[in-house]
Amino acid sequence: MHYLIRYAMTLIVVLAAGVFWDPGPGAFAHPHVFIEERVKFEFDTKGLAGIRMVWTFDDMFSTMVAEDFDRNKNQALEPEEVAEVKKGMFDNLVNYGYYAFVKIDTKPFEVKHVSDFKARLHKGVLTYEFLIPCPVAAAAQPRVVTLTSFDPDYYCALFFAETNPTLISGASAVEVSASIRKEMETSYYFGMVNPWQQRVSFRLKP
Amino acid sequence: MNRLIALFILCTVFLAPVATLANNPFASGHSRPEPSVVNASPRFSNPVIARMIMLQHTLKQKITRQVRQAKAEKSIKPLFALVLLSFSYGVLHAAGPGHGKAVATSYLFSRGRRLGHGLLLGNLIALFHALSAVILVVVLREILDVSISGSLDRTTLVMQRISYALIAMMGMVLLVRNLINWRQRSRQDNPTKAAPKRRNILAMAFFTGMVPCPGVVLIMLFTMSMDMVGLGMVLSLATALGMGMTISAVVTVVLKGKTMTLGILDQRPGLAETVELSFELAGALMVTLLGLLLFGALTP
Repeated sequence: MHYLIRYAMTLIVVLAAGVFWDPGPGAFAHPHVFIEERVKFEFDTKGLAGIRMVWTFDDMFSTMVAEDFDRNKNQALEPEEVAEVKKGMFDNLVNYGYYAFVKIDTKPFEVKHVSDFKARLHKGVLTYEFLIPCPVAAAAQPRVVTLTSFDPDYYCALFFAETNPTLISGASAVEVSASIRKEMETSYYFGMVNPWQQRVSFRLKP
Repeated sequence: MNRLIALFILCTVFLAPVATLANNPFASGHSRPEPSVVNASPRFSNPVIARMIMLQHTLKQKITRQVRQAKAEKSIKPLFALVLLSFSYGVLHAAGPGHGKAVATSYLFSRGRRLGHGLLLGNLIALFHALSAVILVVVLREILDVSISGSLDRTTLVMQRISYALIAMMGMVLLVRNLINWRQRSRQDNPTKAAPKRRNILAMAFFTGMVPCPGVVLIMLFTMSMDMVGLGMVLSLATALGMGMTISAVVTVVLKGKTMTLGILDQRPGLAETVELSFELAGALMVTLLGLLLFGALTP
């Protein structure tokens, strides 16, 4: 009888542990790569043509990439080196949607391929640049395109730059307004972090 | 009031999420293992976490800036600042999920009461975690001369497999020992308390801390790229001490919860003993489960 009480108590303690404990799938320590982001919305006469992402990496990650890919050690990346960087340290991001969650008029737009990849090493800082082709025709009524950039696994911490996080180009035929907000309806990292969202609203000039 | 505190501490223990290291998404050969959890609505939105992460970024950038300055000026003046920055980084870094806090806590739950054990275990885990990273970088970079970004993940994965398997095995050993202990104590009139021997703590610390710390890897890589490997080691030690402080602080708090709970039951030795044995059994079970779950969560 005494034994039963003991075993029951153990069971209760263990169950209590199970109830409160939430490992979560793909759970993980925390980001080791920090990316400062600038977003350039590129327009043409028809409307939005694409979204150009500019990533500035932290010094330590930059050094790690430089050590491995700046073969001639001239503190810069030549075209051959850039190609290697693209192959070894970028292309795989397609599996992660390049961390770009795009919505056109609230409908998700999957980023399946990007173009115009550039990598630059300057004063020890690595930057990437790439274009997300995203044609959205402008109309009399405003169209809204949002870009939320984050790594749901939080291996990388992405954040918009404090200065000039948004750039607009080629918007001669359209009226554009841009804003940045915290996307409270989305969260990651055990539900504790909310990503930031850039939003452009544009329509044909009357 | 005491009971509430004890209960709170115990609940906090089990709220600590288990974490595994993710693989580098930039490098080829890695795909997202499962659909990531992107919650529709935040469960408990926590701006503190984001701020702590960004603070780590700020500290790291300050470190790199100071290291560059030290190299340019050929002076050791920034050394003190660098040590302080690295220590702070370690403190912050270990506060996030992972770093063996859950395992260490469970282990001490399963054996031993002395708060000194918490300090020892916490700091040893941190030291092994940092040492593993230093050795890894030195071996990969100096001896094998291979690409770090590529090899790092493969090596880390192997270490994780070994670590989690060893943790699970240790857990099973603890489980068996505690079960035997339970039966023996129910037969004896004057039972002896189970206390971890120093070499067992060392083993547990090694199993838990053997996975290289990516933060220290990056610090070492950076300083070595500047031909300042000695400085790198000093900063890695400072980081380890910072991590050790956080880990042992958490472990000590939880251990205090255990001793407080048992202290409350001082007047009822029968119940106290049962609760203590339950804790120890639960602790052993947690160590085993953590090891198995962490192992299972690894991508093949």
